[in-house]
Amino acid sequence: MSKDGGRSVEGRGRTDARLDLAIDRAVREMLDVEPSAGLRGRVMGRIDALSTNSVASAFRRKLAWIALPIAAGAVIVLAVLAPWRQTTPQAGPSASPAMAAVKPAPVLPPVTAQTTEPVRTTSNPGPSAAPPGPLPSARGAEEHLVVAAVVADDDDNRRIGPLAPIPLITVAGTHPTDIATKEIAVRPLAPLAELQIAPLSPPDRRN
Amino acid sequence: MPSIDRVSATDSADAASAMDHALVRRAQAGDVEAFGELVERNRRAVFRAALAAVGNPTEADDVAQEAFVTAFQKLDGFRAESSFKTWLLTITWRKAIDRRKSLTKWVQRLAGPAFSVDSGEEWHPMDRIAAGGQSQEDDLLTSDLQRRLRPLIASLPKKLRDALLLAGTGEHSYDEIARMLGVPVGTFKWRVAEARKVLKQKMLAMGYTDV
Repeated sequence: MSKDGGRSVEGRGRTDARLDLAIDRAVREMLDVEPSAGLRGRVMGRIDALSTNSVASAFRRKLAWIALPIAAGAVIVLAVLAPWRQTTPQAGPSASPAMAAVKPAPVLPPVTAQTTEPVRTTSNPGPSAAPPGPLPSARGAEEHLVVAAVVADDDDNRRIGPLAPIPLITVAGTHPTDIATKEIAVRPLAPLAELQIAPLSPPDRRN
Repeated sequence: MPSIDRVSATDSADAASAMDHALVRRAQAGDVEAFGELVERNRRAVFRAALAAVGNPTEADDVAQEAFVTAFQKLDGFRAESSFKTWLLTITWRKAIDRRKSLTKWVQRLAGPAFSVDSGEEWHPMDRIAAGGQSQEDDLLTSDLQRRLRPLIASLPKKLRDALLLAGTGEHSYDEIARMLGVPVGTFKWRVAEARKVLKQKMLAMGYTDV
């Protein structure tokens, strides 16, 4: 190897070393940044928040595990009881609490000796079934009471003076002997005429 | 051969690893403060690995936070088959690469695709890396040379650049970096050497024959 060649190789090696050194320094310089001081605090803060959330979600999961069977049981109980409740005798139409509190016993027409047949509920009762005069029913009494209750509600803020003393009501003594019970005589029904049905022709039978 | 300092597996590293494992066991048992100690002990290594990938201190800080939180969540799954630091750095690297991809996409959406003149690579966040303070002036190295080297490093292919920067952090051993990147140590060393070769060729082409 010539003297010049040796010198160039030496120079190349020196250049290489310098460039390596320059690269090392440039890389270090690029990465010469310290992490922020609060990194640990921020990380721990996020972990705390995470733990709180996970505890809360675990609690919600547990609650769901308890609440779901209870809710399912309640639905089953309601499903079982609901038809039973529908078959129970229905009370009268619901009324407001104030009205319900003053709801009196239904006023029934006086029972007379002439009413030998029970009151029919068909739409076209016979003339003999109709009671004489208007028949105040429980529903009618209730309607009157509704009006009265509304009026009472409207006049709620008025001052009402004390009521006058109620005079004594004297009731004449009843005479049980006056009420004579009549024997109800039921006539025997006329015998039914025997029905004659003609045999059907084949086409009629098909239909 | 590269003159970047390497952290070899020394007695002190073994002691540090043993200490980490003790803290991990405590943290796995529910001692959150022990995990705080692990954060403190590894924060520089994690931050610098993230910085090597994303090139921006603020982004690197976010990545480091996410990496620690993820490590805490997965701590029960840590089986001590490798050192805690290696395991943590692997998590960090994945997070950092994800962040880098999203950053690149974001910038491309914002400004359109940008390509480096030299390598034809996509824009990289490393282009924005903040220049450090002026180093001690060496007779042989000028600040001009280092200033010109930074964009050249940033324009390296990603694999070469990552290897070079991770090797240059001074926080990780070659074994750790190779595991972090998921490549054999030999491949990692080749990448570092290749990165240097490419940089030197570019510098020579720019006329820096004798600096």
